[in-house]
Amino acid sequence: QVGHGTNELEDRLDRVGFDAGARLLELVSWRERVMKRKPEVLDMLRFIQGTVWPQLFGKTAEELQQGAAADDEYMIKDHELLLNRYTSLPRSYAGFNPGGALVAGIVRGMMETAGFPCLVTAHFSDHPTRPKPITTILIKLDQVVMKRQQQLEAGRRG
Amino acid sequence: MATPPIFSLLVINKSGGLIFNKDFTPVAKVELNDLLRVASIWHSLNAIATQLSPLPGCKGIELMEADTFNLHCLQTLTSTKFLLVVEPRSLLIPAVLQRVYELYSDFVLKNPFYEVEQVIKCDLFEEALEALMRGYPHSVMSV
Repeated sequence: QVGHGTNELEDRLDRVGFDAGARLLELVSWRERVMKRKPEVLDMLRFIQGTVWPQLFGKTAEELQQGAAADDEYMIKDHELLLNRYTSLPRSYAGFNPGGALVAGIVRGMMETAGFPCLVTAHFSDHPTRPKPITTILIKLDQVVMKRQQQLEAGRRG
Repeated sequence: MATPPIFSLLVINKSGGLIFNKDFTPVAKVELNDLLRVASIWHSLNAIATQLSPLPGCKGIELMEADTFNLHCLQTLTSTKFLLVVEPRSLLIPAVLQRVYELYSDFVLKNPFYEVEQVIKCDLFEEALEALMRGYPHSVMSV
């Protein structure tokens, strides 16, 4: 299964990233001496933003937000993605985020391996305080995950 | 504002083809086809020079001096040549060439969309070059 990419290159980067992400989850968990699974979505996302990102890029991802329109969408934002630092896009690829597409695959690999099926895509978006567009990683969680979250929350309340 | 004494940069690939040229000051316009021929001629002259040199171990022409300009050439181990056309009394040009080579290996070679030995069309490379030339000579003093 592939995350929905709008073109073949995006799909291929997603697949390469997925395999890397599945392995990265194990590696980073071992390095950080993570003892327990994380059943909560937000814990997993914070792990990606605050623990995996520094291992990969030497810094935490600048922003982690829930989607404004939908509660099954989350965004991780990197203000200057390391993978794109030396990449100049040809005109025919305008709007495409190559480093972002690979990172989206990595995030999807980690989420799915941790038990959170989802679709992950990457975009460039403008930021009010940054001179160049930032990278937004959009994570759309599967309904399976949303139902499980609701059950977990009901269990806590109950 | 003083005109920077660096006139232009040319990059020639290992086959002698011109893959990049940029003027940093207003200079006489040269047709692209003529520039391509000049690059090929330089490539051949360079090769002949290594044979003609009286000293052993000559790798190529490093400097050509003329009345109105000097031409400095940096040849890499991969036979890519960086040529800078500068004013005769400019300083620190070998250091500038080294910086240009660094910018090439960062913004051209690390670009996944760039095909090696092809024409260079990398925005980030050109932006970095412009910044380097704007900051010259200070941008190369610490090298």
